[in-house]
Amino acid sequence: MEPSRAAALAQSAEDKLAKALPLSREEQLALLARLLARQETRRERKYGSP
Amino acid sequence: MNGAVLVLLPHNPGDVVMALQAIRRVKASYPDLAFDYVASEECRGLVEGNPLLRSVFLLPRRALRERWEAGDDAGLFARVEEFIASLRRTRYRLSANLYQERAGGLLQGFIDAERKVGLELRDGTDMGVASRFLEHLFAVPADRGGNAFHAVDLYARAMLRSLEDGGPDSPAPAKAALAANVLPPLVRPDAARALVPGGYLAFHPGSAWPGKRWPEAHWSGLVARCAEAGLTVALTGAPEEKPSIDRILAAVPAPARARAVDCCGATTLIGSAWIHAHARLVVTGDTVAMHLAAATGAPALALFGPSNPVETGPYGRGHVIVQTDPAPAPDLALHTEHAGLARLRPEEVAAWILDGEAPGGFPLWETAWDADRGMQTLQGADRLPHPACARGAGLARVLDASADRSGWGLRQAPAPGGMRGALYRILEEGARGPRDGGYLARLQAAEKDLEEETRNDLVWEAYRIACNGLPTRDLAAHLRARTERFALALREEAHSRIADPIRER
Repeated sequence: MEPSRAAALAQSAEDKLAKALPLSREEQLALLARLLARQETRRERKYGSP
Repeated sequence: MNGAVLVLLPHNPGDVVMALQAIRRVKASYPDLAFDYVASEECRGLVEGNPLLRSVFLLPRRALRERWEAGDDAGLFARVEEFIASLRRTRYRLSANLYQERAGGLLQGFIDAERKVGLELRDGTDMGVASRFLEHLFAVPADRGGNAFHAVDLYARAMLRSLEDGGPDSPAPAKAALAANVLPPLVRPDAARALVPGGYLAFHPGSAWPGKRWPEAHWSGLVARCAEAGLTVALTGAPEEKPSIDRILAAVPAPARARAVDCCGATTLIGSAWIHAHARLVVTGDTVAMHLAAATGAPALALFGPSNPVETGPYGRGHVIVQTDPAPAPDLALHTEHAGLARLRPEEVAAWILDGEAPGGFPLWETAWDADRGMQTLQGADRLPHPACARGAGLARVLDASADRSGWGLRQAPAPGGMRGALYRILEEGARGPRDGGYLARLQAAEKDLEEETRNDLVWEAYRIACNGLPTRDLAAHLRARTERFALALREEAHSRIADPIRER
């Protein structure tokens, strides 16, 4: 289950980045959290998450 | 110079080792600078307790993942805020984001630093001209296969230039500084109890990338030949690579197999580094084992497939590289088995190890130090440099000459035509001022046109790199320096007799 507010803010950040629009601090935090939470390293992509 | 530098390059142990080697280079010039580091959990063994570093910040990925998956908005924001706050306790002299991905760019945006190098995502203008003015982005060529600098040299130059206000790199560090270990104290793992320091070969067959792997059957053949010659062979690898190592050893005839010591999956990264550090020779692909060997000063024989040994080869003197792909593909074909590596036969590698005979049909490069340029170079048996290194020397001449701000103008360079001329005129116009509201957009468009026309030529590459690290407070001065550097790149191209292997390809 995704956190609703963080997911919405992260998506808003993605949309704004695509249009080169400024991000709010909350959007930056939400996108960072999503990237770190869901990011996979090269090794994890190959062998799975720890 | 004192103060502190924050370095972000959290992932992939081999990349972290290279970042540590770059930090060592910078510390050789500025021993009083403190370095802090942002790392991932998987790399903590390389950074915690490392004498090069003052503090280590581990990305809280697991905690964030748990909160994300639990739908815990409040906990998620609290944890990420806590992490940002820990980074912001220090006002840094420089923040260096060597991790050119979005997460690194966002983190960079939160860091409190006098200067920043590398991607910064803050206001949505992440890759534009305007943000390059702000961020001192350092560049790598569009075609990574043709990169002419080693990543360690690139990272070190980016940091040194940013610390010195666009000035020249510091003199090349002393040999002793380059040879110094960049890892935490090495601990002998239990799995290595049977190994006599200096009395064995270490083989590291695995890689997360299929394209970097030499075929298992070839490793079996190499183990057999070396063991039959009376040598002990230690095999290292991550726990996930154990099935592969089992298959490699199962294919080795029993008498020879008895001389193999299987350490795969039984060590930490630092334990693995102990094994590599004490080996007579480390044989591996373009892997973390290669970087660990180089970081500890152990000689490495690196078998390269789709990646570029100039950019990511073992950093340090006297390592040997078999380059099975003389023209690595621009997109690094890492996901499929590499045909060149498969053609390199085990008897050829064994002949080099046992008798010093070079493999036929593949260039063999030795790592060396270019003292004039202060960077690593690769040279062949004839002492001639690798073509990409020769190109890198040309680039470095532009960069080093541009750093002294000697006021080169078009009079010293050939008159540019076409898109080069258009860019030059816009740069000059901007330097003279005044600039209208559309100026940056026009500059960006002219740069884009030139990039599309000549994305791999020396002028564009040198210009891109030379623009990094320029001070940004005074836009007119910035544009004057850009103009001078563009002229320098034109001059270097006109005067250089160095062949450009990328353009000739």
